[in-house]
Amino acid sequence: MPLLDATEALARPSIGIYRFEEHADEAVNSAVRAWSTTYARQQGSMSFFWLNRARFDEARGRLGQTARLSRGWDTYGGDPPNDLARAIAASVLTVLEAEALPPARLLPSVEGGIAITFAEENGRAEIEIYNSGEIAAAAYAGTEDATAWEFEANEDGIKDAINRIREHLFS
Amino acid sequence: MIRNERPVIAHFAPEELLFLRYGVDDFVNGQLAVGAIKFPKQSVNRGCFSEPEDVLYHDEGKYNGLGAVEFSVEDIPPTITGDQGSTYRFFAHHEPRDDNYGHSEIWSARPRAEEEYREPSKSTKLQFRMQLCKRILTSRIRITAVRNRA
Repeated sequence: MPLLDATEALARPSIGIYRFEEHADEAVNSAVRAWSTTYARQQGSMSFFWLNRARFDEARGRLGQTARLSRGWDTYGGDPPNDLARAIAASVLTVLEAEALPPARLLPSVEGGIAITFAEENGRAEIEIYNSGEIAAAAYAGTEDATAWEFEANEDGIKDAINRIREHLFS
Repeated sequence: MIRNERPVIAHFAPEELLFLRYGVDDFVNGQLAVGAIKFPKQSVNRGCFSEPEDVLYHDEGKYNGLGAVEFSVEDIPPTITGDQGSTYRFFAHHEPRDDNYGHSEIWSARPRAEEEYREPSKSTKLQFRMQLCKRILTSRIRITAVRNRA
């Protein structure tokens, strides 16, 4: 008995209506597919991790470079960041990394200190550390006016500031 | 640029352009970084008496490679009320120099002249600078920087 009726197969139309059935497609349901999806997710999270790591490495590199600045570095006669501002900025970066909130840029500030910028699609925020040891943050989302506040340069103060910044950046 | 004993012109039209010097790193994600603006007395050149390249003029060429960005007087936030409740108004002030007639600065004052002036708090100044930087986008660059300030 023939396994295939060639005549009937050839007589079938070359086009047809196909119905997608969930969980019925081996390409979606197979063990290989499951492994592939898991691997891709791992790669994705690793990329995110390494991307964050690279941004913190860059920020720390920039922070180190500020030690070479001299008075008038900004072309407007401004003071360079001092050791106190750099030490506080390093602490802020440590807490930011633990909280997985990488900065978009770290720059010396023309105000005398260090400015750490955060930028997302809809929001923007800033932490500014001054040579006096004071620290302030500002943030806004979309078209709203920026809000700004000063806080203590300790771990709790920095964490509170990060939480407020997150609300604006990801609202 | 030379002043030649010309007088101070106190009035600024809202649409008058102001020019500011900047470096490559000063723009972050298409917007001027707050760390690039100081307050008080950020120096700018007013557009009715100068060209963008004038902010890059230096006898010894120290500003070669930096850029010039514009914003208008009306981009300056007129008032900010800080977290301690004090309100300040902000404005452009013509402060000509012998070698730069268009030189101006951004100043602040209390809303009523009789109120005692105290410099705004760090957070109020930061709030002001952030509001101003919201308006200074890469589209307003007039001369593109090719190096950093430092």
